[in-house]
Amino acid sequence: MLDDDLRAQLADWVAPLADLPRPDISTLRRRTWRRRMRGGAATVAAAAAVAAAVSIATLPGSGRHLVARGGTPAAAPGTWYPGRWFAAGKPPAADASVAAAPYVVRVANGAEVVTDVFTGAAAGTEGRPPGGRFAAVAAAGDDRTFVLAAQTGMSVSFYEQRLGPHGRPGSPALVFTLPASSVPAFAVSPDASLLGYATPGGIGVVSLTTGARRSWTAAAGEVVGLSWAGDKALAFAWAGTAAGEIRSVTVRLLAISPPGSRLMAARQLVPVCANSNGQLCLEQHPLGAAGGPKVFVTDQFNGNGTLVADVEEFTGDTGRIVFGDKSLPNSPAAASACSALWTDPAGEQLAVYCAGSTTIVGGRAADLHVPINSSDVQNQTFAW
Amino acid sequence: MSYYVAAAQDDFTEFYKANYSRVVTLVGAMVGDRHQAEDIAQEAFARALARWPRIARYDLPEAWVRRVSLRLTIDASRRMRRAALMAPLLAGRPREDKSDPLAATAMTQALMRLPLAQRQVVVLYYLADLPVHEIARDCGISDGAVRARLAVAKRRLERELSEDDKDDKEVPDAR
Repeated sequence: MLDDDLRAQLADWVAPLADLPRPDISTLRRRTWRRRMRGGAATVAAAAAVAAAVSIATLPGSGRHLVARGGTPAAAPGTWYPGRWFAAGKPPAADASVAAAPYVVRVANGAEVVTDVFTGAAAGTEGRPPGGRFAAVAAAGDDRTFVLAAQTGMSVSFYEQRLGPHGRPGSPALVFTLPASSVPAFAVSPDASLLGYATPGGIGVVSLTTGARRSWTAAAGEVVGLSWAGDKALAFAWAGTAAGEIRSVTVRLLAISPPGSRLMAARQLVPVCANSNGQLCLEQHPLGAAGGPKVFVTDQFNGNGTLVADVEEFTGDTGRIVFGDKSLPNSPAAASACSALWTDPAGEQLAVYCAGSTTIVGGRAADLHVPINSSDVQNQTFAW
Repeated sequence: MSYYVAAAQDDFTEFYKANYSRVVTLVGAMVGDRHQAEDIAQEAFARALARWPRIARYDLPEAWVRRVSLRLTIDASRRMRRAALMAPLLAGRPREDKSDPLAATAMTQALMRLPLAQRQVVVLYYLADLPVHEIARDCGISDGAVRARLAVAKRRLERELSEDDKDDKEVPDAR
């Protein structure tokens, strides 16, 4: 019997099963609920071994290339579309006020809306991409260049878009696609040449200019937030896991120039912290300054029974806390919704969103109209 | 904390719609029983739903469901063997069930006479079109073991199916 004969016979034999009615998803929910009520069913060993085929690569000083060196090319999946990338404009001057960055992009209902934060007026809108919907957005350093992610079937497409005069959105250009069933956390470098994204158990970086890729992996954990701190380092929040449970949360700074693929070789900026009851602090939403090396981190912690939050600033050079306790509202409602939204290239000024309002720390006070809610930061549906 | 940013529930619904038929088909080929296949496939997807925020970030979430299905198939086989309820699965005599399209076909009988381990590699290789190394990973065995099981299983299937064919030809016309 030929292989093809056997293949055909098997396919014919089971073909009627493909026509069986698919139960409603509520059936699955009931099964899940019943198992929980029983106190947990036997855990199936999850398969998902992460293939860590990683190259040793280096990033030249221009920050525009990821070049394999002394090994196989990076095996991170994805499709790069040459010739579509365009560089970000010059970032605002280091001493520029927040007024130099008036445009924010928010994704809503699969489309994007550009808003001027000083007037609150919509500068423009862009409809859904072909065959999908925008799901998340990240900003480069110039306040004009953004990367939007769209879910299309079982892949995620990244579109680069530059705002025109008065914040009017141009046509999004497809620059990269990634096989993934949902949009990962991602960030675009200040000069818009590199796209960093979370992978199962690690981080991938693709050069939008050359298509070269690198990846870094770790044994057990998840990247829960990403931000570039300059064009050569990625700040990321890392949740270390064991048996599917989060055991630690740290913030690390990954220099992408040195060779190597161990994610845990990235320097730890913020160590694990827990209260006296062993409850972990949640250090998340890292926000790097475009000029590097400063990184702001939102830290939510449970102290004395009250959830509080602060935004702390670290230097990427030393890993030292420069200052903390940024006088943020100290209530559960505020703390659960605090995050750093924007900083100038030097990291001197910081826009912080807390409990429905946005304030500028370290800079000129301004009347801001930031059209977001707390879930926008969490879901990365907002970028400034 | 939100690790991934798409609407997870919507994602799962799409994933479920796109993959349910494939999974129930594969499982059905392994167990030779429609109802058992539906039960195992639903259980695998229910487990995926419970862990979706994590699984959604895998490169191939369907591979996770497939591997869970394989495990559930083994578990079901063991359970039924213990309870002596799996005579069809274990002894190669599928239950007579008029609503089951797999019941009492020559292919069902031939496949069900194979040990489950061989059945799994046959189904994954010939029906799911998976490469040997991926089957090896799914089943937790070496590439060589996969090839060996395939070779043995194919020989046995050829023999079983040709004998069934011969039996059919020898059956006199009932009229």
